[in-house]
Amino acid sequence: MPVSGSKRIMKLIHTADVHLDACFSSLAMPARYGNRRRQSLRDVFQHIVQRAAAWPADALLIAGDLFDHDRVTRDTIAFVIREFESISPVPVFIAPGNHDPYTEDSPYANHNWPANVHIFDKPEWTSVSVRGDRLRVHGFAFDGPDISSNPFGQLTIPEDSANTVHVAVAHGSERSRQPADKTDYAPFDAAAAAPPGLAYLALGHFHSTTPVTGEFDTVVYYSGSPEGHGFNEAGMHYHLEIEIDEKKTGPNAERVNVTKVPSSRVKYVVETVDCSPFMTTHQIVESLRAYAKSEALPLVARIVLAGSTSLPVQAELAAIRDAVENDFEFLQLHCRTKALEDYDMLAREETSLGGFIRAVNNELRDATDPARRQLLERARDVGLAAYRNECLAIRGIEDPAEAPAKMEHAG
Amino acid sequence: MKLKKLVIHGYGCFSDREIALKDRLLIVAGPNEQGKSTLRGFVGDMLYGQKRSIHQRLYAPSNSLRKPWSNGCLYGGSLVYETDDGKVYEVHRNFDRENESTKVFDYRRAADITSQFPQLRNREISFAETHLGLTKDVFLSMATISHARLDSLGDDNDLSQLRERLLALVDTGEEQHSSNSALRILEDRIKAIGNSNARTRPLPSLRSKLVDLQKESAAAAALREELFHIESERRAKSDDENRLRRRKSDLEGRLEQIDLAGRAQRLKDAEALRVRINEVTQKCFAVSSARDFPIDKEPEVQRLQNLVVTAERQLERVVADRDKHGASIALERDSLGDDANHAFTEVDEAAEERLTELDAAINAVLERMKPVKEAYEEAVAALERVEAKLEALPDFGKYRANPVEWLNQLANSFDVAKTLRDEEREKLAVIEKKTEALKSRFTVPERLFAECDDFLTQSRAYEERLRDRDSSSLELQSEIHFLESRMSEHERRVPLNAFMSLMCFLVGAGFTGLAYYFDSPGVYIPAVLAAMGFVFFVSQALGGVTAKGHNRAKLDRAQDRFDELNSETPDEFALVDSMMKEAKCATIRELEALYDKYREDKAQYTVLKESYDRQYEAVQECEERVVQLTAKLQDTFAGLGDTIEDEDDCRPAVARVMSRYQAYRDAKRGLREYRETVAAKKAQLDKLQTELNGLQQEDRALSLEMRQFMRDNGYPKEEMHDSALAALRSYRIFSAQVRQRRGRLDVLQEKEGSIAEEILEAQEEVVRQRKALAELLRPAHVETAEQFHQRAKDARRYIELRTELKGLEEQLSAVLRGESMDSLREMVARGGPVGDAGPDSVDEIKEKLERVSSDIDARIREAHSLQIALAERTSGARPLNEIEEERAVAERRVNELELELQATSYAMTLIEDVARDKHAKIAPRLARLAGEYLDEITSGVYNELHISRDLKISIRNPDTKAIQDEPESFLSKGTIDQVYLALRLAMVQAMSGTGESVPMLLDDPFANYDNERLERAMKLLSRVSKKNQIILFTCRDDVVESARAAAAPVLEL
Repeated sequence: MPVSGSKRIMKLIHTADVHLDACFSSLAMPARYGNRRRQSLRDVFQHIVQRAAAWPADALLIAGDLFDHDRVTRDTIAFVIREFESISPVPVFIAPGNHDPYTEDSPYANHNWPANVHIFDKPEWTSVSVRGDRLRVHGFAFDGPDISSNPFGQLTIPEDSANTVHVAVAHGSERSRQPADKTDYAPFDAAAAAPPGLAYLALGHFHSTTPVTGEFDTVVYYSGSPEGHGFNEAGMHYHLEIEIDEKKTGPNAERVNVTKVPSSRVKYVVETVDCSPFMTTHQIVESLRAYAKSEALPLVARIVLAGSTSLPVQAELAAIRDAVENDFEFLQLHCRTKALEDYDMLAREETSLGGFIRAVNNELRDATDPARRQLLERARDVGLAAYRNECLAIRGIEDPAEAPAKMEHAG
Repeated sequence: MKLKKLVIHGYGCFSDREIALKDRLLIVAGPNEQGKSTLRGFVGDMLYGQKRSIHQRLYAPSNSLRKPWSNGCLYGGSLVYETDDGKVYEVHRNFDRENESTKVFDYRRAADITSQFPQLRNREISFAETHLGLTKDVFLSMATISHARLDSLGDDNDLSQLRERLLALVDTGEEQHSSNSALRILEDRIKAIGNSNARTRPLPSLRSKLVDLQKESAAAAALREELFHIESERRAKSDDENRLRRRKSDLEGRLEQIDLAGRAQRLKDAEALRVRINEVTQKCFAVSSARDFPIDKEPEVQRLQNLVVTAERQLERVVADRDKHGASIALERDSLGDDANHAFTEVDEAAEERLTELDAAINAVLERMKPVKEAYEEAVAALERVEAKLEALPDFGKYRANPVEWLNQLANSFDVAKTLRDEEREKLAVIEKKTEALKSRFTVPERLFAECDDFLTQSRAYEERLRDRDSSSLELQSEIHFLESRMSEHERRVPLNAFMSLMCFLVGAGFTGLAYYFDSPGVYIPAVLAAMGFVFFVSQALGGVTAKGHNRAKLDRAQDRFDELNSETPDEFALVDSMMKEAKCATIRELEALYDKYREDKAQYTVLKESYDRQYEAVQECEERVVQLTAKLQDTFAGLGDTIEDEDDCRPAVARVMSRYQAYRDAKRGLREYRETVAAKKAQLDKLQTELNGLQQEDRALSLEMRQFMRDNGYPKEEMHDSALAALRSYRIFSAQVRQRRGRLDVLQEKEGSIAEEILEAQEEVVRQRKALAELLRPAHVETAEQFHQRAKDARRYIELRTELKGLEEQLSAVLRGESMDSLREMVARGGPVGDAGPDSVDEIKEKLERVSSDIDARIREAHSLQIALAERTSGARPLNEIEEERAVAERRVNELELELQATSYAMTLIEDVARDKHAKIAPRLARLAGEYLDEITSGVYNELHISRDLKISIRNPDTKAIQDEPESFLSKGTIDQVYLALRLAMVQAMSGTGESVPMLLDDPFANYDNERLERAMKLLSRVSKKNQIILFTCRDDVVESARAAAAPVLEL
């Protein structure tokens, strides 16, 4: 056991929300990229588990949502079990969350887990002592997609356990940090959930690394997911390495040291590129390549080409994507450039074309529904192109052979 | 609009160049690269500027392209132009981005009027659009005709091609792209996206793929469920296997315990067996006397004993039969009585058969007679009814031909005539209605235009006069304003001058008084100055009064002239004004359109009127024909006993007469048929009566004979039957019964003898069997069979005891298992205490052990097969995630394609609507303008041109005076050139929102024309330029020569 001078350090690794075997359909990326993303999550998870053995940690805390219960495969469960076995005797504590609840048909209940793995299996606080009662880990499990009774606020730490470090691992939504776009599960207030005597509360559910502070002594952290799962989880993700000085007395903030360790293997980014200054589409390609090279990690990128330009960006979009996609782990390229088309000037013309543009402009003026506006704007572009004997690329056709022959009706 | 002068400070290759332009046709000649296109661009840029957006100050490429080649030149220039209302404007532009400016001046007043025009957000002043009513793009594309456009028409002068070009110009302002071509592109786009019928196109194919993926997703979810169940089952099997293994281990332990307890038990069992053997040996000894008894004879003894009993019982039964038989014979003899004395001879079968035949034949004849008689009576009654009916009908027999045929012909002719008449009447009504509608439509215009001999001339004069009057009125208004301002100036200055003169006078008088008083000559100087000031201000005041009077007079005159101008209404003004007022037209152009419409309606009315007269005559002819046919039908039907009320009654009358004729024919046919039937039935009835009489006579003779026969045979009941045949049948039954009783008595008597013989045989059998039994019992030393059986029982008991003894010894041997009792006893004594091995025996435990082992094997096999099932199901199945991710991609693409489809469809609908409206709106104006141009170009040969709402061209043929929809048939190629030019010019004017004449810029349009055609074209342009200014840019000498020949001015670059 590492001892530094008069210190005796308890080392913990905290992660959560790995979501092994997650589905990436919301990214609308081809299935092969989904498989790569899932493999990446496995790699990240493996790295964290092996880090627990190499450091070495006194315990690995997993605060829920280790996998997606509805989707996890037997192969993944076998992989997880094998990984945990490989670091034995480092104890692993799992507090099942809303995505991997402890139910009758859960892999937690239906597989033989190694002896060093402790899975909390009740929706109430229970605890396990390790390291000769130097460390006591408290935790509870979700017993369904939503927990039947919320145990937050019911944890008590015995007063006569001065030589024991108490930590808790759990899954739930801390009300003050609840993002507006995320559903709350087992909501709680940190002050009520952090009783005196609890040195560290390892939380899961929110996917970004978030410390929770307040009028309480316990150090509380959401570790966040170790790698993003979509464009709404852009940027670097981390796992946490916690060091607790067992000998030191006083506030936990002084004896508990939390370090964010980057864990992402890829980085999700959402960027908008202004194409107005570019004179050729090649400059757009170069700009995208430079952007990809400027990042240390492979990028899963959603890039929107915007701005006003006379370049045929929409028509050349597939070519631009083909040119740069090897520089990215995955690239979604959208064209939102505005052609330097003066619709109001066209609408002044006393021609049928002018009448057509006027009619669409009038409708656009009254349309508030974004879908309706999108339809009208597209109809205007398509109609104008047809009047000019041009054929705009059809969105949704990815194979050029499916596109209509151009200029068939010239003249 | 007419361009008057171009002043180019710097623009492309031009610098400090001034070009005066002619109002009509001007040829700008010069070799290539001399700046013809630059000059054309200069005109466009001067009028509309160089911006490419009306929102932002974004410059078109021309801004950088047309920068002056020479350094130091100002990038820009000025343009002077005159509008149709006679006003002249001068535009100054600086195109330099840093110092960009645009100024518009009233040329005649030299006033800056820039602020009078709207300014766009790109800071452009939209004076040209205000004047021309055309946007920049439309002006540049429509007012500029290059050689490529005219030349491509070439010799292939097809008006449909012209129409296509017109459509394109109306739709886009260019000659190439029309709404139709846009719609075709959009149609292709929709086809490329794919509708529901095109399964191979992207959208339906993706929709189909989406459905497949949804199914695959559902299947994957189901598979996941299934795998979970299989996995659970496999785990259950594995758990079961473990449980069974524990059970097996338990059973094996129990078996060991049982083995330990087994030895003690065996010793105990052996000792018990030994006691039992001793007991059995004692019993065996007690019955040892029966050891040699012939027990094997016991079945034979039993058989013979049974035979003796059987023989005795047989004897008793036969004796009982003999007594019963005797009683039956006595009873049978009593029942036969006296009948035993009669012979009861058999009836002659031939006679009975004949009698039966006769009876049947008589009944058959009677049955046959019954329907014949009924038919005969019915025929007679029907004949009487038909005769009565025939008397009531007209006698159609006097007509030779078939009345149905000629009546139908007559009725059909009448119907045809009537239908024809009704159709003609309807046509007449339709034409009348159309005529009325048309007439009501142009009643008001006719009243308006009837008094006006030459409305078109008058309207043009009116327009010119109106323009002049407006111009004069504006000038007078300016003058009045000027004079009024001058008068107010004078009014303001005269009191001031008077006051100043008074002040000067007082000051001068003061100084003069002081000079006189002090006699100081120096003081006279200010007095003189004051006097001069007095004189000056007095003169100013007087001048002001005079000028005021003069201006008043001028103002009154100007006001009078202005009033006079506004009040004067020349006759033609009054007429046209009253027409406009009555027609509620705001402008003369609307009145002209009304006039065009009136002329068109009037021509149509004339055609309809002629059509009405022709139709009226046709109706009259049809009416007469109907009346004639009605009279003829009435005469004909009177002869057939019917009358026709009116023409609508003709067809019912024909039906009535035809119905009567049908009844007449039916009655005649019935009369003939019923007469034949009555005769036939009568003959048939007579024949059957004769046959019946013969049969009845023969039946009576044979019946008497048979009755005598029965009486002779002692059957008195014959008299009880009316029919001889029935009596005969009764006799036959009775005689058979008597014979049957006699036979039965004979049989009983014969059987009595055989029973006596059976009794003797039974008695002998009893004796024989008793003897055989006694011989068999003698060797066993017993007298009766019962004794034999008792002895045999003892012998069997001995054998059983011996067998038991042997079995016990074998059991003892088995329990000892080769050991002796002593050694076993010793081993038991050596062994410790025995644990509880449960209630089951060793075999039971072994059996359970086998069962458990077998179950374990079965579980292993089942778990293995489930493992295989898991592998089989998961192999090749795609993960749910992969499917759903692919589905998400497909959904996105479907949504995008659906948006594309909707947007394209929507664009198509809008384009169709807008183009249709636009074509319909522009067609009359275009037709009127093109007609005017064509009239001028062709010197009045072709003066009327019509353009339909879909821009189809038709021209009045001067030979036939008719409007023809396919004018190619009578127009020469040259004329079609002229038509195109007229249309092309008219199109520019028609597109103008203000009606201003638009100057035309032609860029070498006659590149491939031969001399003759060139000369003709030049004359044509010369004529057209009377209305529209034309600037023709060319590099060709022959064009220049041709222009000079046509007296057109030429500007050499």
